[in-house]
Amino acid sequence: MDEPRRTERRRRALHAARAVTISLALGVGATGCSQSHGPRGDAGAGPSDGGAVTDASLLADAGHDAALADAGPIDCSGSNWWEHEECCDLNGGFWTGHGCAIPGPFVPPDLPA
Amino acid sequence: MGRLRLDVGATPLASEHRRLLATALRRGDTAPEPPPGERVDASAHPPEAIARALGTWARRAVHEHASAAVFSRLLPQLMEAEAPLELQTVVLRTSMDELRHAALCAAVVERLGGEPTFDADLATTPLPEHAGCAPIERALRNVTFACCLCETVSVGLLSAEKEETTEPRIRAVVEQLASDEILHARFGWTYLALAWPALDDLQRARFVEWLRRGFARLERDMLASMPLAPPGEDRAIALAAARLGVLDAREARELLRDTLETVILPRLEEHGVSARRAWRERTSMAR
Repeated sequence: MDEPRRTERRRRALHAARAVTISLALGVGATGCSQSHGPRGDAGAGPSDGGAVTDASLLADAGHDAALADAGPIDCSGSNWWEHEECCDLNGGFWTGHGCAIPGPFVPPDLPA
Repeated sequence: MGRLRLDVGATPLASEHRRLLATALRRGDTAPEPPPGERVDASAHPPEAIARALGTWARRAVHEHASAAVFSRLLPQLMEAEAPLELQTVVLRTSMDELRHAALCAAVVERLGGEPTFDADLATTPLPEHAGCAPIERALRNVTFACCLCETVSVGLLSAEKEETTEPRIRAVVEQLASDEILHARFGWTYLALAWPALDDLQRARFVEWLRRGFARLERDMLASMPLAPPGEDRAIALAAARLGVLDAREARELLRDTLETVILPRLEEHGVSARRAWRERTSMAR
């Protein structure tokens, strides 16, 4: 996959994702969407919103779930827990041979008032 | 654990099932369901790519099937929250879409030469009740997670996947999934635009606190669903798998990050949700 093609594909994918977030029919919230999110407004690969989000952990690891069960000598609460078959099993995942795949569904977390 | 079967049975309601696919759930002129017995020419793809595609499409089948329960459980929460009728209707359609997706994913497995039944935990997970919260808060949190976060990310992923999938019948399935996920995500953003302004200050603050957990959960589960290839793997395997509807995990992870940072966070902020702060302060909590 050459890089320009990949970048263009990502631009189109982000445009598709952005398009579904527009709530035009209600006329509330999301003000100004129609002006600011035309096809050429997509940022492509990099964060373009000027926000403070610079977290790169998505590409490496972000697993640090304090409540994940302990799998013996392996700390399943640490980063990259899905690289351990024991932790994968504990979390209901499928071990692919080199990583854990969780089939879902993705269920939201609970938080009482 | 149980055995998940996704073929249509022989009861008198089988024809009604097919009628619904052809009418209420129809998108476009061509149905993505494959003709019986059709197979992908395995000799045209590396065995490693076939194996990866088999595993991925099997997991998708299980995932999509269980997702139907998530969406159907949103209905009583939307009813209690006094959501408009069209939202109640669409959430049920969403659930039906997920059942269809499960069957389509199983059909891809079969087309790739695999067995289209799966050992799976068939016990479904209840949706959180967020005890002490008002009905509208409860519904909004769960809709936000399922649709504004998960489904919006899925739209981007499937859009990219669609471009890489060259196997025609598999591409038709990816296109169907992508088309349906667009509605599922729009449903979420529509409800957010409706419900968020109705929350009071305390409820909004509680939502942002919950969102910290929601982001952590999303990140954790999505990354886990995108296992990276073994180090040193021949790049040709990833390219071949992409032609069978399996986007390279590294590209998928990049897309997840970009969709969050450049689409979801800004849009939530436009609605008045302090999403960037919640993302920065996301906290991993119990599954």
